[in-house]
Amino acid sequence: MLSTTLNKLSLWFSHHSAFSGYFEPVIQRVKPAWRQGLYRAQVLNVTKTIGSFVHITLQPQHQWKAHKAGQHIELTAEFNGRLLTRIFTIASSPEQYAKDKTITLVIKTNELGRFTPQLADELTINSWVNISAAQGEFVFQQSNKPLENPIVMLAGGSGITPMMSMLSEHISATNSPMYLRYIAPLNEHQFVEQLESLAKQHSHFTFDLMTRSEHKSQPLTLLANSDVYCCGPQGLMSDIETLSKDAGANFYQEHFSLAPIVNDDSATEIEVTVTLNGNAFTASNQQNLLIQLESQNAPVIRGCGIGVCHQCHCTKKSGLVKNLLTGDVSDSGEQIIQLCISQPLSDLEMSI
Amino acid sequence: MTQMNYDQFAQELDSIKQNTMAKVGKKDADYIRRVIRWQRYCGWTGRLMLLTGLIHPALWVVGILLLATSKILDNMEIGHNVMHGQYDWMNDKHINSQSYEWDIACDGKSWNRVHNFEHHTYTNVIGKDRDFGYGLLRLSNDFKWKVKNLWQFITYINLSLLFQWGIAYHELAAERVFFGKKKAGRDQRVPHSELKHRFFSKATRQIIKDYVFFPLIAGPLFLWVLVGNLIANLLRNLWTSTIIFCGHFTEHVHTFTEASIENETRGQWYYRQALGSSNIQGGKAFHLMTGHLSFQIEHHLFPDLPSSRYQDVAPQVQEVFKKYQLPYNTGSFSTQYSGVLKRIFKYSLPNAV
Repeated sequence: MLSTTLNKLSLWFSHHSAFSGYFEPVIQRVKPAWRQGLYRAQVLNVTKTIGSFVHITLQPQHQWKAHKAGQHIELTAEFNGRLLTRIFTIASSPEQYAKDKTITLVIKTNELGRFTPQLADELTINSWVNISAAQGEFVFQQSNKPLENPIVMLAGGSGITPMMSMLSEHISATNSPMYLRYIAPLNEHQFVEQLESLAKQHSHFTFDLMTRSEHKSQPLTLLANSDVYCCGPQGLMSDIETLSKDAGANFYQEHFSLAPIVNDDSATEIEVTVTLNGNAFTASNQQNLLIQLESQNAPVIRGCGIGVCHQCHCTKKSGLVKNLLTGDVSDSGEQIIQLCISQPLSDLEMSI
Repeated sequence: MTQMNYDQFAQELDSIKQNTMAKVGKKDADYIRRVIRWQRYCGWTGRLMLLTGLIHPALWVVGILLLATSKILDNMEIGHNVMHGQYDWMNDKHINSQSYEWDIACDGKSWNRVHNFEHHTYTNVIGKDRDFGYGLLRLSNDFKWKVKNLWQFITYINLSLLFQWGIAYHELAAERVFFGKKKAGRDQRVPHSELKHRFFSKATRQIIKDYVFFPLIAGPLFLWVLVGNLIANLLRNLWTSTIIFCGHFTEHVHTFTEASIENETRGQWYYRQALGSSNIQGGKAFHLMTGHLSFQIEHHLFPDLPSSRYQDVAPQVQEVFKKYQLPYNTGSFSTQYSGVLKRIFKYSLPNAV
């Protein structure tokens, strides 16, 4: 109620939807990276590890509420004047946050990406980034009672991050067997030392580090009452889901979106799904988005049609487009695009 | 001049834009945030100093100047450029063309629709670009002479003084005329009711803010603040109108016919922007206060290039114009402005030569 009134006043007197937006650039002089609706976090440590992973330790401002093991956050950082946002699972446990008010992200860097390669090189110690509240449903399902079911965890690549957080949080709460199978390319497994020490301390915990071919040659056996947690590439997750169903086990999974596969070769027609304000449309990479959305009666606005007037702009939440005037491929995160000069390269999520 | 190679001309301008866009980054983001901060500081100090008139009237005058400066920065360097999408690449929630709103009677969204689409796409095309003379002034022989054109200089002065209201009303009418045609199968037209609502709600907000709320909270200083706000708004109106007139209505700008832009190529579009706009020379502070509309040519060639880059690209653009033997219309403020006045007087009379 109060905030609605304040925002109305803000519109009248500061022409911003909220006073915080009006004051933001001034407040940022004192509090770097202060942004309306986001938490600030200070970078305490950035370490590169094998397999082109980077470990980042952040200290969120104290208003940030502790996460549940397995949850993720949106991380926003400014690179060369641009604010970019990506979602990452928190690899550290809520216990660590309770103890020293820090969280750790373990991020696989993708040298072709716009975000992750810069994390290692441009995030300096003591600089500031923004994080969202912790979110996500991939958490231990039996956290309120003693854990009784056998637990099987399957991690593929950077899918290890929620598992680490869940393990450190829950390993002491049970005596029933916990097994982790962690699949990654040879010598690219993260957290090996931590896993070994956990196994030493807790006799009910065992783990295997495998490559994909080893995983294929040694099928999992699941008990009917096990809880199976899986995070990794889509293929792995659907295999394990089938396996769990067949065995009568409970299956829980976490999707993480990999960088979309870019088909920048306009000679091959591809079809993508464009979600606009929650409605799905189909589009091909052979024409600009404006024409295609118009022909399907989407609520788009036509302006000049040649990239000058910005009337057809809309906010792309995710996905890749190519600017037909400059040939630039967009970032995969949120940004404003002009439909009339945008060629879709992947599935898109947008709003007007 | 021999037949111009429009495609090559377009390529050269495109590459200037692309090379410059590649350099855009932190420097430009810091720049616009710095301007926004100074806009805030000027506005706050200005409003406070309006209350010090009793101590010494000179302080009140300084207050007015600061408030006017703040409004000019907000309208020109920040509002106009941000609403053109020049800073959309920053992905800032508040500094982008979709959410920015300015301290002026004209509703930003309505302005954005008409200005960016109609004026920037159809620059100086008679019958399409309603900004050419704003439907009030006869500024070329393309328009039929009417008796009222005899006193159009007075109309011009009135328009300048009331510029924010002129613009607010102009954009409302434009929408009605321009989007009057419906395209089959799709309703893109903004309903009159919404336009009217936007017009009146923004206008009410502005009037209440400057002429009711701030004077009232000043208590006994009611009149000082009311008059101060009035003068600050007038100064902003005069300045913006003067600068904007120098951008398209100077002595030698060209106009175009609707027929001439049929099947126009990108090169021809650039060519029209080049001949339809004019620059003003000046120092850095001057360019800032004009919102870099003193680089009107560059702005029309590259409307979504950050204004912080216009000074860099100007010499490159001039070079290309020279190569294609196009006039690069620039001059001192007094030259350009006297050109505007000449034009207003000249076309007051029928069939001016």
